[in-house]
Amino acid sequence: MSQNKNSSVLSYEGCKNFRMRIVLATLSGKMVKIKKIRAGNDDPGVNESEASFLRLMDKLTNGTRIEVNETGTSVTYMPGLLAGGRLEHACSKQRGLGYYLEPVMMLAPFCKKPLHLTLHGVTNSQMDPSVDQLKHSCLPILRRYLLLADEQLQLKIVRRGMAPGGGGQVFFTCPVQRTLRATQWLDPGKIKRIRGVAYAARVSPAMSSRMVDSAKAVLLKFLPDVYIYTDHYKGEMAGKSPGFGISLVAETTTGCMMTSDVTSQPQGAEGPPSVPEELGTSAAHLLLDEVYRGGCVDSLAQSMMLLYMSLGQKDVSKVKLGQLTPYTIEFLRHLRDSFQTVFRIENVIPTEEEEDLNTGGGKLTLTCLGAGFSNLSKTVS
Amino acid sequence: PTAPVPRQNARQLHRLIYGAEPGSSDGAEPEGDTEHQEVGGLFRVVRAEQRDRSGRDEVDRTLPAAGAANLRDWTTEEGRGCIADCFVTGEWKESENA
Repeated sequence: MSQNKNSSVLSYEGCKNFRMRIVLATLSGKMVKIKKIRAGNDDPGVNESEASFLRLMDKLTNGTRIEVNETGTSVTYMPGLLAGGRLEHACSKQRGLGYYLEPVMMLAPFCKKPLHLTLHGVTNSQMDPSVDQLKHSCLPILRRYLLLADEQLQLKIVRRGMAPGGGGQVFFTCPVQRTLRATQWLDPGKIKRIRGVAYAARVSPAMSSRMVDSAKAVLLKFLPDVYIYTDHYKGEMAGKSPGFGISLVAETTTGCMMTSDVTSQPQGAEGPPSVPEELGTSAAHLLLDEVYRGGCVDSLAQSMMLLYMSLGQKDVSKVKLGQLTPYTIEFLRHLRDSFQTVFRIENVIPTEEEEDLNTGGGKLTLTCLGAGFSNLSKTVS
Repeated sequence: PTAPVPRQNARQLHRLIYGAEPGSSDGAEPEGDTEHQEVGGLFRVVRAEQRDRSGRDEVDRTLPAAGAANLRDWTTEEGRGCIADCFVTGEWKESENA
């Protein structure tokens, strides 16, 4: 990617990878200039969700300067210090809360004060990872890195809110950490149980059980230990729009998590309405895709895992992953721009005794030397 | 039947990530000013096909859009077989077998 001659300024073009650019600029303390954001579009410049994300970053930090030009097509972001504390933010309903939560989860451990964040918006959307999925995929990784964090690390869905009306509410708390340990995470283990939640908001509760039945029909062929909770929301707790969905997680013997998530068509969207049976089957099939891809973290958590590895102590971190997603590939490029971290990527060659096992697609190991990042704003208690 | 999944080769992947890539803003982008239609001498008309050749305005999403084909056909015996040993119910390595 384009690196300015001045190494303390990152410059990019376009709205692609917007959030990771802001996140990595904040962590590395570098200024970032993004130009030509939707420059040729009929609707040029940053959109509502990006503006909402920038406002959230402004609340999360102290002394951040954000300059947006008149047309909104270029953004200059001068990061301040991550402050944390007790915050509340109403997110744009264009995107799901996962769009905002994912970058916040990356930054939260490096705040000055522990973060207590309440977000309002759409908890489950088709485009973004749902809050349920983040809870099962990314939160366990945070927990691995944050010592003594049991009580303080929490992600709770207070109210569900479906697109387009939203009205959902989530609560996220995260303690602060001075440094991250280097980790070696190479054994994905074997899947011992599958859990999940099927929810219905402002629609018949039968929708949940229909999704559960069709998902179980697929998954029970692999494993007897499948249990999917049903969750029905009524009145205020159900948000402003009707909808339903299902979120699945496969847990291995070594504590690795593979997740999948599907959500119904939002009210008023084009195309045929979602059928619960189809959603259930599709969630199960997506989970099996994740299992096939394999590795120690699922495709949603890849970028978060690689970020923490590269920020770790000046020691070698190593992780086994399945195929990298296009997003992860972009993330690795941006990591090099901000922290000069270059990962060594190797194919995993199966040993003789592994050769006969059917464990899905080819795996990779990614190795890096930590940048020795340290949270200087953390108050010493 | 689903198409075979291309295996990511580590060396190619490294080149893809860290080497110069089409679509990255490394390469000078041809501006092609001559192709623009002049309107009143001051404004230029941007035609749809001239927009976003670089992919720089792609949607910022973590997971690829759903609706793409699954990696394997999970409804068949064959599809199920290729991940059977990812589960505790499958075969174990000799060294792990109690």
